[in-house]
Amino acid sequence: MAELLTEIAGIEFKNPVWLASGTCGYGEELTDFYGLDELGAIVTKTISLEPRAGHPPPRVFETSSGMLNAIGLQNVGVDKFISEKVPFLRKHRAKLVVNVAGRSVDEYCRVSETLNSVSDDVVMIELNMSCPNVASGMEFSKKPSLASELVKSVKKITPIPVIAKLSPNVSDITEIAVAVEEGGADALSMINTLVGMAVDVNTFKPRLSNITGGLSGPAIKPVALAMVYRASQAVKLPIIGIGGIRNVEDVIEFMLCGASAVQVGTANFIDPMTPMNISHDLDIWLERKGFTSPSELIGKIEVE
Amino acid sequence: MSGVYQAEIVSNNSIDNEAYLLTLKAPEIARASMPGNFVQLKIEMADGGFWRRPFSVLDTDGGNIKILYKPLGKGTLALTKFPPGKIVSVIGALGNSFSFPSRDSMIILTGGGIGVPPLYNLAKHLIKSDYNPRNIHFFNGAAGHDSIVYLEESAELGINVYAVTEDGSMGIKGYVTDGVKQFLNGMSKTSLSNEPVMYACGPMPMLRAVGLMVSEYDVYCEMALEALMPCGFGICMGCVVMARDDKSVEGFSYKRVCREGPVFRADDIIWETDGKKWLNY
Repeated sequence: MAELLTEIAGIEFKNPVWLASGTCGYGEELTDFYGLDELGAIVTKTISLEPRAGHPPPRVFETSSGMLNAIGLQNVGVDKFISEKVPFLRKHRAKLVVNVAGRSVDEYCRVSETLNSVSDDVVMIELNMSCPNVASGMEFSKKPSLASELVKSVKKITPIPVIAKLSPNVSDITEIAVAVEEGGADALSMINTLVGMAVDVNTFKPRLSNITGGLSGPAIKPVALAMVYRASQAVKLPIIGIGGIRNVEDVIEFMLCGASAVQVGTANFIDPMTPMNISHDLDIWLERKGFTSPSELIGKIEVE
Repeated sequence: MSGVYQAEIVSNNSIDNEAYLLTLKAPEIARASMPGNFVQLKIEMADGGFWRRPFSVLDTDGGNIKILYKPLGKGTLALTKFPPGKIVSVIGALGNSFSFPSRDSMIILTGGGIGVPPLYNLAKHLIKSDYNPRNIHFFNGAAGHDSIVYLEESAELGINVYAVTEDGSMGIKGYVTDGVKQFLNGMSKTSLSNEPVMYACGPMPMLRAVGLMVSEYDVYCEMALEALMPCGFGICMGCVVMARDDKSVEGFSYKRVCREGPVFRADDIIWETDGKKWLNY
């Protein structure tokens, strides 16, 4: 048996396979299929200061090997999250990472500060600096100075380690990666969805009420790999790879490109057992190849 | 409680009017399934389509579930090629189900197109629970006689069955709601003591018309909605509809068709707001 135990920013995770924000709700629905404590971690649906209704439908559309979504950060708000969702996650011994968004630096800080009251339950905060579907959400991930300031401000206000989740919708992702490292981030997760669009040729209408949405799924995996690889060359921070991961080979690719752990996203929709299958297969793969830990693979891509 | 199951295809046959009947060996789902519930089938598609496709359960038979579908999109087209013996991944039983009415109700089932299956399932369950089949009135609407589905099979349950076609090629001419309105108008004249209760399923424009009709006639109605569904079990938040919600500040919230539905009370659905349709129908 290989040892899947994974360490990120001094925190131990049972394995390197996490659930990506926005693809697992607050964990409740998934307990029909497996125990949440079997995961490396669960990253919650984005939490904002106030509850948000989200965008009107249609919110989703299937594309070739991918999908578009514009949910609009529908969520219960941080207070209700703490009173209603955290007890459930605690009961199920989930390793809890909370994804946080705000309209301003102050709002990110207020949500993070509120989470301090459950700092025993929340192992990390993931800053959603990059939701493409909400006005102003993109700004933090586009300007290095803003990205750095956001991380710095949140770090000041909470002892909970912070992951900066980066957007691929930038001209140079390494600039942002370096900026959040300077801001004091404990880890990076990447990538969020790519801005995309689809049109109904019969009605001439966009397929999403928000007109544009975020592209996810297997279609974006090569983009994610390239960005993880480039970021890993630019910063020392541990990277959590996200983008189209469906099976153990995908995970190995991300690790070779520099990821220390991964998040499974869209694949949860198609088969909720995906993270369980991947953990199981990863164990077998490592064993067969003579590795004792997934950490031995991190950044081991062989480039001439 | 739902799960992911590997189900063997028992049969997958073309029946009348371009419809197909798929029978899957899925004992856990068959046992758990109630009228209104649906399943998510994994169907490989050549062009990179990869979402599962939702199908409401038509019937259960021992350890089997039956699904009635028409090959209208790329998923259902691919499904027609699945041979008996093939193993498919199925998630189910999913969603909520219709509530049963009081025993002396006049039960009106309003189905349009391929929205017939959950209503057939409901009729069968009601009869199994000793409801009087004569109190069940099933309005089956379609574009024409050559696209109407499961009419004879519904009649075999001993219930009252009415065909309604837009082109008048069979039964009553008009939309399915026209047929139901005629019936309701007739009912009030004969002043039946039985309270009408309606169940509906069909395309969104039809359900909107049903919603307006039951509000006008003041009839309690539950409807099973359809939606594009990436997951089907509540984690993606993609398949929502706008529904009344007294607990929310806005007075509404977006509810998941797969989880809070697919069955909703007709008077809970908000079809348009500020005169603006929120749905591309």
